[in-house]
Amino acid sequence: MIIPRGPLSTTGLVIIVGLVVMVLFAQQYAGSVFILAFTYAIVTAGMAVQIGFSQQIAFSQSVFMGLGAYGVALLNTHLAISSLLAAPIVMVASGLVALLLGSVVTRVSGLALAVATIMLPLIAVGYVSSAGYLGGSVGMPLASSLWSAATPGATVLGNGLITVAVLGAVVFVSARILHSDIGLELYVLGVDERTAAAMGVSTARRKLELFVLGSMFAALGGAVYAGTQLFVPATLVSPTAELSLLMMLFVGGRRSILGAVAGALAIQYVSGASSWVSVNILVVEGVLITVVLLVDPEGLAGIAASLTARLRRQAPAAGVPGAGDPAAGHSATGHPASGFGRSWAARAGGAASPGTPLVECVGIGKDYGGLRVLDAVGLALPARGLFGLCGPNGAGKSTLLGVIGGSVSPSAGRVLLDGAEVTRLPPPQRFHLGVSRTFQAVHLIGGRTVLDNVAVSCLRSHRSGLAAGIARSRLAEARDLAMAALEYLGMGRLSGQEVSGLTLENQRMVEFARAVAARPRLLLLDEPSSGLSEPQREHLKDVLRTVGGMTCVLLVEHDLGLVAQISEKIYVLASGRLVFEGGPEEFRNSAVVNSLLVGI
Amino acid sequence: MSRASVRRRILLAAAAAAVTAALALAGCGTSAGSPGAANAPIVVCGDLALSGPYAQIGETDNWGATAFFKHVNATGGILGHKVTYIVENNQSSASQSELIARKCILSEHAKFIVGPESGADTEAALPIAIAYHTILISLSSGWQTNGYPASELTSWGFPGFYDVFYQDQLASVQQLIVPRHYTRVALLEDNCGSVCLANKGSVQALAQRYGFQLVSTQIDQVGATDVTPQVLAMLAAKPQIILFGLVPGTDSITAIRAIRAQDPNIPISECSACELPSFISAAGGATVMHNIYVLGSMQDWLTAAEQATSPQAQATAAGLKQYFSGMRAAGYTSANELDNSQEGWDAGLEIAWAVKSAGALDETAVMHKLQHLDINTLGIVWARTPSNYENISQVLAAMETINPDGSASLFK
Repeated sequence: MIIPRGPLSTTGLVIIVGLVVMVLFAQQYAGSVFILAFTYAIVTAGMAVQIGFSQQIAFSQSVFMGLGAYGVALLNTHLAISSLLAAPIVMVASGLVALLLGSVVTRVSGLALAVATIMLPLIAVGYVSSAGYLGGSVGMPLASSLWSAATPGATVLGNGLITVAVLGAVVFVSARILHSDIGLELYVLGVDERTAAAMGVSTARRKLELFVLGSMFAALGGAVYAGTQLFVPATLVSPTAELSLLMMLFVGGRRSILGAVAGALAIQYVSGASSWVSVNILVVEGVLITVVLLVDPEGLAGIAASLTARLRRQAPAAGVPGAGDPAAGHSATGHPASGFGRSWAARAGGAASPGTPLVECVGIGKDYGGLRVLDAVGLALPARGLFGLCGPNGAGKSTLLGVIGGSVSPSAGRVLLDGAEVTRLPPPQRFHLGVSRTFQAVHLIGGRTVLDNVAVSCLRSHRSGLAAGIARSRLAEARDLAMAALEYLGMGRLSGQEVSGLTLENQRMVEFARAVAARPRLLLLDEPSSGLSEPQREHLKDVLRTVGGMTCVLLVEHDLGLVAQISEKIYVLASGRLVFEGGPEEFRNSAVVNSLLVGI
Repeated sequence: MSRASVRRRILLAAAAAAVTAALALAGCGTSAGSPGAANAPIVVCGDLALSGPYAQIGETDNWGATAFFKHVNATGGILGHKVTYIVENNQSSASQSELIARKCILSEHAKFIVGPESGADTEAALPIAIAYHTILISLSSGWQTNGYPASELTSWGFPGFYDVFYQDQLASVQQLIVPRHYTRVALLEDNCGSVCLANKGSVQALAQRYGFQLVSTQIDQVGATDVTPQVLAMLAAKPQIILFGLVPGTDSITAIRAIRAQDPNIPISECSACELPSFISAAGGATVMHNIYVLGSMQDWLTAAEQATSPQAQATAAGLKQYFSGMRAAGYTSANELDNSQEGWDAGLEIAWAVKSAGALDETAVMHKLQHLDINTLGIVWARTPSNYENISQVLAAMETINPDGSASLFK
């Protein structure tokens, strides 16, 4: 079995299955089971984007589902607005509520976001249970369904078809986002927010957009629930309902739209399958989620993908470069004369103002509580050249790199880029100004190819809203740029490999390629030779020499020999102070350097 | 193979898989036979909570209904039709209750649905029963107070059980407040929803009718572990008796402990499910239960009915004897099974009476009979009208007190 991946094929599959089920079974109990399942799938498809794909775990889906359901019920019963018309009104209103709430809770991420929202279902169920105008704990009935026909059977069929259409729309929008350049941003955001920020992703904005999107889909699901079930129970917003939604998502596959839909269908199917299952539903659900997640943490979608991969492996495949080979894929070293090299050189050189240092640190200080990590550090780097930054462990090298890159706010001093102060600018904005970096420990995005890892820094969606990802994807352009960078570095043959399977050496080179692919004006490299073999170091040396001819490179490195061989100027930090700056010769002969770094 | 061809195959394969799954699901419901056959069984479907918060109630309801329909089948059925009783678990969930109602009607071809138990679950299932013209005997306590739309209150759904809180309050008024000439009464109710919160209105109506004053009404949360503030506020109003409008559970225990800490003698009535040894122990022992009036057991109910001489009491006694006999014949012999399965049995009684009265299985005719229910279902004497399904003319129930050794005795 091959899992359809594109937005159109995914949506087409969901709609075909939905239509077949509705036409065949609308008049039977099974039809009602599937309508409820499709309703929940509307919510879980949104959750796959927000929670599964981007890993922004918020316990607010049931609350917004309730908001949508109660909203439709109120408009339907008090203002006699049809459920079908009330649904989009409520969806937009819920989006506004989500915008307000999200602007507060999405300031945090990961576990903190989950904790910040964990009380929402409890508060919501407490409120609706005692709110008389919402029917209290009994719940709120509706006067009319989404589609009202002369017979119950025709009404069920109409409601079912509308539900399938809404689910199809939600699946299409979700899949379209995930398959766009913004989808790649969201994936990186989910795996490593720090890397995402360093690569220009506006993480705060994306998190808020995700919260609003997930909430609007949940509200839409709630609206459909109210319009098909004709009744909104208070338990719809309870923590138990939230857990059920999460269970559907994780059973199906948190990072797959189809998986999320399949999860909702599976759980509803299990609930309605037999009397025995129904009586023991909690045990069955518990066993199901345990078994599925033990087999594959990516749920049913992961299991299906594994089976697909196994089938594909049985077919003869073209050979790929050996992952263990240090030189694998590195057929050539970068050439400034290549297309990529020319465009990089033009960008790096074109923006530089004559006579002004590209980057300048003035009196930089950084305190962590009572600990002073950086103390009045000053340096100025020109538009081109390779510069070393050395020092013993704990000297403040990575902190200074963080200050220049924007991930660390200095306690004192200023950072100037091309003469303009950027001290308070966050990492994404500095990235857009041409500052790119690698990390001390490798920060690659597992589960994606080398090409996609590099494409992250070539995305042009950083300034676009989430809606732009639905309208137009520019992922192909980003991948083209990434491929050009990989080929420039002689790594083109690695592009299709998943990064987790690479050697540490190749992983470091991929991270280096990602930093380079953005054609930065200032390249910050944090111990790039760490863990590399001798041939790899030689290769890196060649590459750095070439790169240093086009742009400004600040290199934090423990390999003093490498630094001395390729740097035109070297800075040495000790206990947060700049204790040496000079050329390679002075560096080799400096008593201070020898005392600090060599132990002579 | 081209990408387009692969995609087409994918879509076809997936669609086929979905249809297979749907077929499997559609086949899950087992039809109990053609409903149109001359002596085809009557299918009664229990839409009951066998798991979740209402599981305890759902289980006892199921015991009662199971025993009743076994009794019916053992005695010739209803109009010659055997009854096939099927139970489905609604998991104490409104959405599942709605689905089960559909399953009962569409897959099981049920003519009658028994359940669900809670107001919300019943409200979810009611529109389905109404849409498909299927009779639903709800087991939710309260009907008019649940907030259902007027169109649903007098349609195909019927209250299978009366407002148990009203019964408690009425018993307290008739057996304690009026005979003892109490004029100051306090009420403690929990926030279980409109059914519990309707206690205040019921007691106020009784106060007007019987000439006493409701001096304080306090509300706690279901399962609360500290109701001392509410108790202090009640006692500050100097009541002569405290009425409970509480769902049996933790807050009843907590309230008794808090009240007795302030006043060891003030009467408390009527405490539901408080005669259980575990409850007495948790509340602080038999001494603490002094002057606390509890809803009597079914056995004491029978004893009280046998002691009375009115025709209604005698009818109640006869019905209760049949209930005990039927329950035991069905294998339900424990005190818990015998004491708590009345609602399910009563629902069966209603169905059997309505079908027999209608003389046929025609849904509309049976529905009209249920709209005029006029029978004694184990002490609840109905006087139902098409405009008021919950109307009862009398409740014959027992009230008990707890002895120093922890046993319960019939009060009066």
